[in-house]
Amino acid sequence: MRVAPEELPIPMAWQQDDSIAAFEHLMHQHERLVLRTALRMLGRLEDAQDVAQEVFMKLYRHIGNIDAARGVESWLYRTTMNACFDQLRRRRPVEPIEWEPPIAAVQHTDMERDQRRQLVSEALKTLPEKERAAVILREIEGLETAEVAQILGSSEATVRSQVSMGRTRLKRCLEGVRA
Amino acid sequence: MSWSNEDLDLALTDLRDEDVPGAALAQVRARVLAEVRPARTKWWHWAWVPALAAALVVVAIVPRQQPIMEPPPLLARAPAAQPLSRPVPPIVRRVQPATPRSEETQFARILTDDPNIVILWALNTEGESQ
Repeated sequence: MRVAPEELPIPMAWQQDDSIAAFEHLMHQHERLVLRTALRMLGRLEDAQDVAQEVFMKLYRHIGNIDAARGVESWLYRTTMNACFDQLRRRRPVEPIEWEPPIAAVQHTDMERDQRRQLVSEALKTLPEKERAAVILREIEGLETAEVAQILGSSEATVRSQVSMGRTRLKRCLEGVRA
Repeated sequence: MSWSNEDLDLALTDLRDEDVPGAALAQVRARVLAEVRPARTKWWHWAWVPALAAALVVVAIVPRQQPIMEPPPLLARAPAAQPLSRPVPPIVRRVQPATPRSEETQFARILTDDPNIVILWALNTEGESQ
């Protein structure tokens, strides 16, 4: 009996229906995860698209080697983060971003949700790469600390520390206090 | 304004729901598929190599057959242009008249003492006698 590809672990699905359509289906399932994560890490849509393209090309080439037990999402997070780190390294060294929140927005006591979201999104760019990655994966994507540690190739203690430091920096940044 | 942990948590949770533009996703998908499609059909580009090798082996092994003459094309052709040189007169060979050969054998009649016996001596055309 033929099983629908989405019901199988990824490598098995790939072997069963080795076609562009199966790959396109996979990409469609996970493209938001990849582009969203890359965009939060890099802050520029064009760069995030480049990274997403690179990640999916790697997925296409290495689909047979992905550990089905860990799942394709974990692999995608790890590959996306590594591609983002490479992209940030390739960028010309820039001065650390000195970000100041818009005064009107800060003084407004009943801040709209989308304004607040925008502020946090901008403040994220000021974090060091590793802290930003840990905050994005743990606090925004909602992954477990152990999973974040596995994706970033560090210990759980390191991840906890990075998340804590990141949150503190974010709060300072949002309160208009330069770290 | 001070940001409490709850404010930050709320803002981060809101970010989780933030979506990426659909057009950006479609662009990425199109770029990836454009890369993937030629890669998957690349092996066709080299398929002619074993096919050619197989064809050469077949040609070498199979005994040659008599070529089948193609019928002449039915297309009307314009007569070839005549060269502009002086026309050569046709060569006329003179035929030597054949020497008439006598078909009749000539005989010499030799009489003997016996009137009932007559010897007929056949003479050939070259004049030799037998």
